[in-house]
Amino acid sequence: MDNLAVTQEVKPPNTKKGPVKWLIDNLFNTWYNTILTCFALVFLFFVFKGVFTWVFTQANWRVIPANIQILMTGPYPIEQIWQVWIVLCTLSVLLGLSAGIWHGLVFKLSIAIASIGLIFLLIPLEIVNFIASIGPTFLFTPLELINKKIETEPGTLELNLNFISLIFFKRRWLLGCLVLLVVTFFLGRDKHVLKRWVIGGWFLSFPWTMIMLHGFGENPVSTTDWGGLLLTLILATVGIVACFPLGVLLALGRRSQLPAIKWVSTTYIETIRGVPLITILFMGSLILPIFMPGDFQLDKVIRAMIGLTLFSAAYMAENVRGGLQAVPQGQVEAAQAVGLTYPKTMLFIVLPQALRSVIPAIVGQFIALFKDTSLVSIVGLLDLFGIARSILGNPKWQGNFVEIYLFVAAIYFVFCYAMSYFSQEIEADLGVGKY
Amino acid sequence: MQQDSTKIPFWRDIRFLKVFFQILFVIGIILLAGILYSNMINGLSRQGIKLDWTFLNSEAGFGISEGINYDPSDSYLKAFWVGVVNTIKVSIAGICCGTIIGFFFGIARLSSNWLIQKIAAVYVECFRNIPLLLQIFFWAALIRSLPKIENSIVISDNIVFNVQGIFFPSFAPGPGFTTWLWYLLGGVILAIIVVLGFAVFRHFGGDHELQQTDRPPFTSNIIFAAKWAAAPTFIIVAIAGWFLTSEPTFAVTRPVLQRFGYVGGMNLSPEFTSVLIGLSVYTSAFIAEVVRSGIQAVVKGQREAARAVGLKESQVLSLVVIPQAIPIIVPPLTSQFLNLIKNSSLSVAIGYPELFQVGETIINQTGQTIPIFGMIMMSYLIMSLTTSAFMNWYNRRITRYGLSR
Repeated sequence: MDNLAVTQEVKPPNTKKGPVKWLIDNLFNTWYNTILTCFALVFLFFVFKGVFTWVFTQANWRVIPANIQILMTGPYPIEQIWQVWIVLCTLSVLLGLSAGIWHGLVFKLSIAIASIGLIFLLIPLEIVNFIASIGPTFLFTPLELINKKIETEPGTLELNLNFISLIFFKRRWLLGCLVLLVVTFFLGRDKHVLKRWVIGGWFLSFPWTMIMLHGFGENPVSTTDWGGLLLTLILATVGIVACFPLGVLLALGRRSQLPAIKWVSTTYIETIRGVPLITILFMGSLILPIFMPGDFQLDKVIRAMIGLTLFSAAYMAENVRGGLQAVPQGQVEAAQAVGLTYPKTMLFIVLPQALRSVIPAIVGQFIALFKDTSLVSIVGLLDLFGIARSILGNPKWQGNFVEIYLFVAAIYFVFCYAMSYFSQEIEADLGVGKY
Repeated sequence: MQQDSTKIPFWRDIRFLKVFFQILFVIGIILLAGILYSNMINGLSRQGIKLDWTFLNSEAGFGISEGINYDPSDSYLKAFWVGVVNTIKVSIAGICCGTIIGFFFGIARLSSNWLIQKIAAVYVECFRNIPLLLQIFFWAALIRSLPKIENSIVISDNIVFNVQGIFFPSFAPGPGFTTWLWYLLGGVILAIIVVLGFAVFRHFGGDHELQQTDRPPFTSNIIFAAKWAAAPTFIIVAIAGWFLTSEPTFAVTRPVLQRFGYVGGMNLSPEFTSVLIGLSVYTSAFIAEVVRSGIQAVVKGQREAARAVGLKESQVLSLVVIPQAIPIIVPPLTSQFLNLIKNSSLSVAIGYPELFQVGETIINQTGQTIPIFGMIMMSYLIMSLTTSAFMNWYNRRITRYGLSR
């Protein structure tokens, strides 16, 4: 009993938490880190100050709303723009149904898309002109002054604050897409019977998109009139979808035991990987016509698609080959032992394991392909970047290159960043590296 | 009889099928090539172009804005060579700048300072998710909006920024340069003598009590002597020669404002500068990721062990972590270098006269699409193969001997 009395009370170690502790741990833990932090703070202060003064006082943001239509769809005829919206509605329905059925990642993705759509639905683009005409102090300007300004200069200010007209009339298609997305989500919730139909729908959505965009009947829209973000997305999608099977075939060919197939695949992969994409695209536009029989000519967009696909297939093949090498030989032997043929071994045993382990590399390849679509502007297509350049060719907007390039860069950034984010999520979902 | 009935018919015999399918495959490829070839002959005759290489010797007749000595009256082959040299120039400059910036940001991403870490992360994420072409155009437009010649930004009379690009002072061999070269040669000879004498002295003199087997080999004595005797000798002679030469060894030419703009010094043209900035910034974002993952790939226990034996933090990095990280970093770094070389072709869009742009001009003038494309592709293949051969050699060397030698 006496022993107990001797026991001292040991205080727990000092585990202070809170912002101060965090600051000391992460910013001021050593003398050189303190100096670095100070330098970084000064640097950030000047950068932010410069950026803010430029964004709010010097930049002319009117250039974006004035050209938003052409940035999105290029020279696509305005009276047929409903065809694009029909495609978007179709995709919304499919996305909504998939989100309802599968939940998980698709659900997250559709939430992200829906919230971006909602922002564009609710914020009138004219607000940019409005803020530009009032100046950076618009937040502090009394309402009467603004009203007075609207009355005195009705021509310069076209702020349409009538939200009802904006949302239900001007943006009725966007509203429709969002409503369809939400409605189909609730319709499709946990209806697993629909699975096959939705997958089939996704497969059919591609030809449907092409047909719908091209239009039918009296005045079809030729592919030369496709442009802007629309063309960029189409090129990227076609490239991604088409290069995948081609790349897998090439990778299998390169690892084949038949020397003829192996050598042809290896030569193809190494040649394509050794030259820049721009040579392939130029070959598409300059050399392909020579190799075509007679007067038969492919159109520009198709040639760019072929070039992008052939190019990225070689890179895809190398990524897939990395995955194939990571699959233990025992898996192939076991598959052969149970009597599977070569195609079955590959399809059901090797490829699923191989592809799962190289998801980051494959998505990295897709991101590179998405960025590379901007090169088609050099061979004369009007993709998102090509349109940006053509806007800058207009003397009226010549001085606004920073605004335009920043806007276009932001669009590319959002797509690339989203792709890499979702690849990390997919990886976590599939449990790569867990077992 | 029984043997005959179990014999596999040839259409199910795997040995036969293997050969059969390969022959079919090869025949298919040959057929395809044949069809393409006949189409090509037809197509060329339609366009009225004869396929031969003699055009390369005829006069080019177009000017190239920068590069090695070239005159419009030179041949197409010479023009093409100017393009190749320009490509190599921008690639090497881009690789150097990109690697330095990339290592800087890669290490900054691992800093223990939260703010530095985040700044580096924002840099990397921004520049690798935006297409390179857009970045190059942005820099080009930015340089085009620099002040006109009369309002140039001049830094301490030496560096000039204006719409014509960037001007630096340049160094050229001056009148005293040859004299100084003789001093250098003398320094080299003196250093060799010193090394030999020193090594012989160390090898045969010194400790006679040591057994023959305990003596260090002669080559290690030479290396020791080179490090501690030859290098200082050479440097002392070189510096002494510098001061003893009465005439200036180097002539410095500064950019000077004349009637049509700045003349003299080294000029980085607007096109070259924007391509260089674009390539090095874009590639540095990828290199930073390569460096970060390479350093992170060194097992944590290695650091802990190094700290446990009492190494300082700087020694942990330089003696333990970096020597192990470099072999991990080099292969992906090589592929970034190759990407940079290939990406240099994007400068065609803003008019930097590199390989691809010159090739395109030749195609426009002669219509010889196929030979020129063959030459362009071969040039890129040769450059890529040379770079990867060099990097593979370097990689083998460092994995075998380590960094220290």
